[in-house]
Amino acid sequence: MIRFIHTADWQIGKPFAAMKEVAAQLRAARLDAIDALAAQARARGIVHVLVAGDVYDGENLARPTMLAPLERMRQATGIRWWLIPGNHDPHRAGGIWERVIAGGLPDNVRFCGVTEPLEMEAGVWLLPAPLMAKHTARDSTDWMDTAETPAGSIRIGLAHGSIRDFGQRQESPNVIDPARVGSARLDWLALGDWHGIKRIGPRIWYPGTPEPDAFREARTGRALSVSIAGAGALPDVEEITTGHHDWQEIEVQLSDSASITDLADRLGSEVGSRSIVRLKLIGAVSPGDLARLDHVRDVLAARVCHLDEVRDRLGLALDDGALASLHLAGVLGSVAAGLRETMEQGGPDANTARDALMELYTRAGGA
Amino acid sequence: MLLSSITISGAGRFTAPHRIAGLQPGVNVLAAPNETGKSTFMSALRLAMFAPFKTASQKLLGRLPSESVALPLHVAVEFSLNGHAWRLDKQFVKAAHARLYCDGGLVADSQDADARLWSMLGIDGADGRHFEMLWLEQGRSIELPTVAQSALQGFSAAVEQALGSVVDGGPARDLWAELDDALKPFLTSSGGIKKGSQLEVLISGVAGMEAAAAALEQKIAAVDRQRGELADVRARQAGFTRTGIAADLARALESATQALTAAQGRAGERAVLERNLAAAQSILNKAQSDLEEAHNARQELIGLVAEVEAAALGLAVARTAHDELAAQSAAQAKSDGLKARRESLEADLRLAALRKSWANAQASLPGLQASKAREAEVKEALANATGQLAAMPALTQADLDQLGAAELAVIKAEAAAGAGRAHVTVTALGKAAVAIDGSVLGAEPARFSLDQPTRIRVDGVIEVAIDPPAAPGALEERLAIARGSLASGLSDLSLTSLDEAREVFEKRRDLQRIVDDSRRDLAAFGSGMISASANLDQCQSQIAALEAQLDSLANDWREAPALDDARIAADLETVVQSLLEAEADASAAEAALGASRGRLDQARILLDTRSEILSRLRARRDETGLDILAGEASKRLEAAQAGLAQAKAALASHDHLHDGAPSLEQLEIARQRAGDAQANHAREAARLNERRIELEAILRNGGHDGLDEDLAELQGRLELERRERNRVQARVDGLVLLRARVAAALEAEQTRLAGPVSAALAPYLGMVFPGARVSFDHAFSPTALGRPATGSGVAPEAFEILSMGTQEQIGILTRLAMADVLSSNGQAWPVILDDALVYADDARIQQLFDALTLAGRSRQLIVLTCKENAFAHLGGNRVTIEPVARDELKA
Repeated sequence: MIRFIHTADWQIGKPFAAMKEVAAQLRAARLDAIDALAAQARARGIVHVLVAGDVYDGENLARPTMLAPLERMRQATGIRWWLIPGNHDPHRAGGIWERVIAGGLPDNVRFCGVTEPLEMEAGVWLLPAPLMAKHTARDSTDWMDTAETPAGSIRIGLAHGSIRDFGQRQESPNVIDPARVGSARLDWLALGDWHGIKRIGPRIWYPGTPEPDAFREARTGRALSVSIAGAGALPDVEEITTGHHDWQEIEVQLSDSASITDLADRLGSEVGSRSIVRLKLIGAVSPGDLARLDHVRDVLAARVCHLDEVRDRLGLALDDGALASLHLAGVLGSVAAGLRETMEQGGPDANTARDALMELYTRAGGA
Repeated sequence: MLLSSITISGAGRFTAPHRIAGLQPGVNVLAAPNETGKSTFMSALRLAMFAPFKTASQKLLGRLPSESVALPLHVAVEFSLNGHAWRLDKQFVKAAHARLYCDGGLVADSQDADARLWSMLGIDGADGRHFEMLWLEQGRSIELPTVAQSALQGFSAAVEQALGSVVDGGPARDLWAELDDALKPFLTSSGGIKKGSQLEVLISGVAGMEAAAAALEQKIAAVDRQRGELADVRARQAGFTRTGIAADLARALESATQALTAAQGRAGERAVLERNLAAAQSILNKAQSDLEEAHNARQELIGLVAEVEAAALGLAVARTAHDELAAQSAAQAKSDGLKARRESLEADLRLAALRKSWANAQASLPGLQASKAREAEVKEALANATGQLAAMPALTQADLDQLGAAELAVIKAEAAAGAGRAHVTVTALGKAAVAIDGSVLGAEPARFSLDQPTRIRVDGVIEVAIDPPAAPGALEERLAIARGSLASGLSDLSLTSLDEAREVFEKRRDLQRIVDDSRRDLAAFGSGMISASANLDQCQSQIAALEAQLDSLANDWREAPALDDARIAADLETVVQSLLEAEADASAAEAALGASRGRLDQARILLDTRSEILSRLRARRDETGLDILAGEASKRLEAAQAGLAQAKAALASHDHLHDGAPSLEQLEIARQRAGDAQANHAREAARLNERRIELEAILRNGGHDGLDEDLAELQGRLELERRERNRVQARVDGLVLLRARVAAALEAEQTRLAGPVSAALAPYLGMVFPGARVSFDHAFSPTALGRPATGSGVAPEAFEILSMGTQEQIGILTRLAMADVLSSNGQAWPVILDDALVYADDARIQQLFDALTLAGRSRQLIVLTCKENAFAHLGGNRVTIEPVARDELKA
């Protein structure tokens, strides 16, 4: 019987510079995720935490950044951390792990830098597949097929890469054959690289990153609690939540005032102070609705942790009535009509025509 | 509308009523000199038509020419309009009134008259509106046909009527101006981005960040390359270790070294064998030579042995005889013994003496050799001294003495010549009696002249004779002779002074001494060397002979005496003494011995012979073993032959054994190659190790710490900066687009509005500027003239840069066109040109006249000019200003 936490892709050092005011908060949250993992392990009486690569976001990190996760792990007494390097922090000559090792690892941290079976505890063997380069054409797990462990042992693979036939092209780097579980007689293949939790098979999982770090990642901010009763037994898998922030990309089609009202209602129920929101507005609204939209946007910005509004594809709805309300006759009337035509044709000048029309509308007293 | 007459009074020079009458349709020309009141008429006409009759005098004055005014102004204008004959009678300031008559009857007066008139003219107020365009005042012909806004509105209304649509450019132009103002913070007048503007700052900021990001990416790439290189270095080092190439190269080097060493050993062995072969050959040659020599010596020895045997036989005979004699006489025996002893001792003594001589000669040899060296030095010194002597004057002691005497004579003569007259003062100091010339001196000093010979005598002590000097003449002569003698002597010897002569003499004497000593030394060296060498040779030969004799006799005849010459001499003396005694004793027995004396002599001869033979044997004593030597030589010869054969066999065997082995040069090349390979490998291994250490140090020292974060941070800020730039750029783009669209719409509108004017202008323009086209702005002011002469595609000329004459002509033609546009509603308004065409040249003015004539076909044209002659060609209806009766004005 073995129980462990399976996590990956901490990517400590990711800067989130585009998030300006909350960048430091987001960086800190990634370190806090280590504490959360330790707390979840302790709560379950689990000793081992397997980290399937990409502990660091890069190889050229500042020393405090490099040392920070080690200190978090050191402070997690009673927890034994098993780490492998991933494509973001490969164990290569002069790489970050050489510096980490040179500085000394905490006693409760085991860096698996070579392909050799490691006995986690009696009868349980870990087969690590460290990445030695950012990109490798070889399946890093292929050595597991011939890795010898005592008969009856529980064999756990630890690797970082993409699963073949996983949506990537065949020639993608760092590809792992999902059939490795069978060929290497693995009871569990702990993978990393995919930032959303993903089940490949009963014995192959991606736990995702413990702290969300991007939009468009489903089921992120989690880890896996795994129990294996014995060699050959099916693992018992539990998803556990470790993330703090909630990254949401919300794309809304706007067409009229009602759609703006719907948006306000939806945002009121879906986002909160931990939310990192990218609001992508598409469609077109009338000049009058634009002011309402701006208000909704401001309320949202005040409510969430960070708001990134994208209006690239939001047009201006100027119908004949709106134009007529401006009494734009003669020359200006023809200008407004021409701009509206350009905008509606959707060519490369459409957005500029929209802005010009909005400018005309504003200067003509329409807004 | 057709003006018929204009009558004025109270304006300018016209204090009395004057009139322009007879105005007809078409072109009317009022040609009159300046100051005749043409413009006053035009001003009065404007006031009458457009000014309210209650216009204040100040306003009136402002609208009249600056000539003297004789208010009240009274103007009467007759015209036909809409098929009726109209008369306007209007007086300003004093008794102001306005009356409008139609077909002879009053139809309105006062304000009604003004209102009725303006209504008929299509104007709203007193500003004349479109008539501003048609009635061109004096001095304004060069101006653009810009008019008051009200006039423009009137004209625009006419254009709108012509176009059938609304003219609306004002708001658009206002908006364009607003947009232009809004863009000024961003763009230059040429459309470029203004330096220091928000947009420019954002663009440059983005560019700077992009450059910084690129630099960071390059740094990270450089670190990646270093990591890659470190991996390569480690891989190569691991490859070295894995393949054991260092050990392989070391083994190869060791093997090559061993092979080379072995080959060098073999070469050494072969050299030894070759040397052995040469030595064996040499031994063989020597053995053969020795053998031959031994054989020769042996033969010689055999002969000598025979001689020795013969001598031994003679000795035996002599002994026998001696024994017989000894037996006969003891005395004789004693004598013989003593003689023999004497001979022996004499021989010993001679030997000792010779040895001493030999030793002395030997000892003198180094000295002789040193003397030889000294002899060479002496010879050199002799040659040197002899040469110097030959080069010097042949000065002898006699010469020197003679010169010395001559100089002394000179000195003496000089002394004598310089002595003057001498005297002596003598004082007796004591008891001793001093007498001078026989007179004894007393106690007082006495002074004596020395002119005569004087004798001073001190009794018992001294007598001094003083001779007086010679006569002065004789002294001078003597001095000359002495000096001549001295000079002559010096000259003969090529000398200049006696001191030089003495110096030369001393030098010659020294040189002569050197020569003499050298010659003496050489003579001594010569005799000494000869005698010493002879002594040495003699001694050596004697020593050798005697030593041989004594040694050879030592064993078989007598003990060799110690070579103590003193003892030998003493013994010899004793023996001689004894011998003398014995001889004395033996004389008695001499007779008895006579018989055997002959045999004794023979024995002595034999003894001498034997001694000689033995001496020869002694000289060849080393050859006594010649038999042995010969035998050994034969053995050595055989051994040498065997050794030679063995050496040849060994060399052949060596060559055979190593036949086909690599040459020494090949092995040396192989050894060098192996050494180079190992050295290269060692260098490469060292270089790799150094590089590995260096790279590890670089990568561990953290020079790249934070680069990823810095880059990501920069990229994040860059993204934000780009967004802001894009936002501002989009806003500017929107403004620019809107401004461009407004400008385009305005241009299109203007083109549309200018259409009626352009169309009306075309016939007139074609007469003056064939094929030309005029552009207008929104106020219908000409902006450019495009002429065919500028060619297709050539930009039209801006109105401002045209010549004054052209501007004037375009302006007049445009007004004619505007008049046509205004007349499009059916009413042809008259056009008045007051002193226009000021700048037209003769050629152009004719074309303008044509245009005016053309315009006169459809409306009334009144041309006022001061150029009577020039305008005579215009034709038309000539009118004049005529005075009229005041009553006529009122009528």
